[in-house]
Amino acid sequence: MNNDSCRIAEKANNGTRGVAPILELRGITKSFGPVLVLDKVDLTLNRGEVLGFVGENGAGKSTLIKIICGIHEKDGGEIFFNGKKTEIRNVTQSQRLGIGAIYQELSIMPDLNAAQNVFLNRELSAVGEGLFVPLNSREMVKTTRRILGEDLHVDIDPTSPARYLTLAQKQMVEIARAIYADKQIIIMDEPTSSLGSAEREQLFKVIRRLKERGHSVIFVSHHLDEVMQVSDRIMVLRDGRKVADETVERFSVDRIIQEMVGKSLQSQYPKEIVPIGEPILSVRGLGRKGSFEDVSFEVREGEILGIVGLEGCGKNEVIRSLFGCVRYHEGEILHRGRKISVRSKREAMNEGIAFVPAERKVEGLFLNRNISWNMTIASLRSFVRFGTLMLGKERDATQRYVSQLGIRARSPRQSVLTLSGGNQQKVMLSRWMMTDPDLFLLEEPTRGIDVNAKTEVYRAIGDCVKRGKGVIVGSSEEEEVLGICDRIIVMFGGRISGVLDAKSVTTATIKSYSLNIGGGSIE
Amino acid sequence: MKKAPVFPKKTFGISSLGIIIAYVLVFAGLSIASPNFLSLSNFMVLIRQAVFTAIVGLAMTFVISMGAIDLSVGSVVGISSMLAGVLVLAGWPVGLVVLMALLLGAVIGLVNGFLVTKMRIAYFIATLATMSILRGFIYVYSKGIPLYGLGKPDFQVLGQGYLGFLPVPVLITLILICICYYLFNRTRFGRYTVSIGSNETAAEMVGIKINRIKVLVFTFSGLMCSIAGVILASRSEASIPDAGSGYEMDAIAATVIGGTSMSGGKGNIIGTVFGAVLISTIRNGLSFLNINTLWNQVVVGTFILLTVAFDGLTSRRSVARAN
Repeated sequence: MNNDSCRIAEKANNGTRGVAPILELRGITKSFGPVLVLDKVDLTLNRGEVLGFVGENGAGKSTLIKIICGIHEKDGGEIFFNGKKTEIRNVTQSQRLGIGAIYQELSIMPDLNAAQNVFLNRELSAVGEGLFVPLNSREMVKTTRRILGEDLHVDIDPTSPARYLTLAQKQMVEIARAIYADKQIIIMDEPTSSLGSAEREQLFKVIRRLKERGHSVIFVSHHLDEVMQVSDRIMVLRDGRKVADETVERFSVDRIIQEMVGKSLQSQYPKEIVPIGEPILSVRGLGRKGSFEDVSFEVREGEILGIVGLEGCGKNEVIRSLFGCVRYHEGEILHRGRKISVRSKREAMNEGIAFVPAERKVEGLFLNRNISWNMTIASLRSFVRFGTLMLGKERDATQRYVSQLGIRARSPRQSVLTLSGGNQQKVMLSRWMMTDPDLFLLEEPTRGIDVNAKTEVYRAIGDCVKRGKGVIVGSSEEEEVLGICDRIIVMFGGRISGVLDAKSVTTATIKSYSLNIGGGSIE
Repeated sequence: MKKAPVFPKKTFGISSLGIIIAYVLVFAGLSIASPNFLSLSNFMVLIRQAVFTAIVGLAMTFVISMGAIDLSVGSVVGISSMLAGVLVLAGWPVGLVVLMALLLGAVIGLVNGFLVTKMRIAYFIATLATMSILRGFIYVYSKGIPLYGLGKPDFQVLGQGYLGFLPVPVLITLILICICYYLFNRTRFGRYTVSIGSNETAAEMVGIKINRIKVLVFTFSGLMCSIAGVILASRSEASIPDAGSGYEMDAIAATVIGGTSMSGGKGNIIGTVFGAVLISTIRNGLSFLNINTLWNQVVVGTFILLTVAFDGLTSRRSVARAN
């Protein structure tokens, strides 16, 4: 393995000097039915290079990735691997070429340990070969330890079951798997979407290590600042065409957005100026053993309050405790001055609290049901007369929200599975708007949705506060919080480390508070 | 505000259409193949045979749409038929007999509901156990010997009577179909049931009381099965220890053929009714075709495979189109 990696590194150095790129796509076209998804797209990936690959949802990004991985077959165009013309017809062929993909939904087996996961389907046997021979666990653990420790510089015990690993660690195991299989091209599709800032930094370090070892990486992300940080070159796709492909120095986040959207974006963060009214919810000294303590804040009518912090700072638990998903052990919650208890979600809903979870598809949507079903499910009581659901009334309400929030759908009976992430999120917001709540709790409201749709979601949130509602946004995107919130609470280690006015701070200030080096209000 | 897009009104569920076409084809095929098949009297025979699968299948549609399974249905049919027999022989008034039998079914359903919620036992395991326990009770009590002599006129009506030209069991079934259709499609209970099947976590997140709905669905299932049990005892004028055994398979078959998804989140009441009639038609039709009726199981099994494969193909295609 070590000799191999040296050889690869040498090749990498040669590669940058005029040798054929490891992967080259020329004039790739692909259509699904009558829809042209990719229109003569070229892609070049050199050895030891990180290619940032961006575009809005629906631009054809994932289709191109799937063609490289052999999940879809191209309609036209040519693929060259190391300068030799190749065809990628299925996943096996793609893997044999040394292409490995790391997806958002990690494919780690929770009950196997790290080593078993790394060697999954490539197990080392003690004697002989075949399905029924004894395995050489010790060697597999040793190799895994070496890859994780020496090659990736991460501290993971190869013998502990994967279910005890954090998401970031599982990702590392998956990367280790790709390294062991000697994947020359590693495709990372939204690898940072569920990571905290520290874990992201760790991932970027690992990507740099991969680069040094001569691997090439295609980095797909909606987080443009990250793309800027980690890539050597950036390629932008818009409506199935390549619109830009240059070294990273020639880009800025603004320029990428312009290329992606095709027009200059007036404002990514439309901020409604709304008068701030009476307090809606006051939280006093809230605490939960081992999770958060002494959390106090207030949300007022027309106010958007952001809660930020690193993964594990307790922000999600605080938000969830307001909706009865998580128990709190001390402190009290007041709704318009009246002490309330939210031991269950029903109780929270009865108090006029709405909650949109981050994991839309897991905790939010009824994916095989239609838009109407998904929208009205939380407020079904209001569509009932004499115990009977008034379907006409339901359809009218759905229709009203579909047009009000600009949800792009053919019919209210279209399955939500077929909607884009942005439109799905608008369905989620509509669901809770229909309950006419006092307070919205939004967890990562724009995770995994594209730039334009983000703006539309912000606009919908703006609509809520215009009607005098209060909104709490829990987010790991500092910029977003700065853009749309009035006040920002930063959490660190289960406590509030700073309360900031969104108008007068920068992302740097938020960052320093979330690492608790900003001279926070505690200790 | 933008102009609201005008959406077409719902006309007819495509999923029902498939099963209806399948039924018409089977019916037409049998009518052509065997001239004796197509007669009103035979049609009535076939419908009366479908009653039990239909009633139990209706209950199963709720259960399966919720992403659950109830294997105890056949045993509930059996034990409530046995209780009805015992009470009729003991001279209880028919009204009370029916009430007690239904109560027994509901209580068993309630216990199933308790097992899968409070005890957190998997649906399959919990109801497999109650299926075995209940059937065991029947054998222990009856020592394997049927109870005969239930031929009292006011009890006979339930399984053998006519209201005009309509057999009473068919009438009861029609009423149950209407009730189930209403509950399933037009009430919060139906919505919540299917929502749990579609995404249980999401259902919990919108404040649906998951356990309550689950207990209700299993209780409803027990109740429906006991109705089938009473009709069965009345029709056969006997409580047979084996009564209702294997009904779970027919009910699941009717439900699945009717377009209800085994993984939950999708159900079709009318489809189940057609599924039940289809199974009964195949059974009936095969006997007319001089095919050994032992082939029944093979044909029904083939139908399950065909409908599910067809469903899988079309839904995959629609997802592909959407992407």
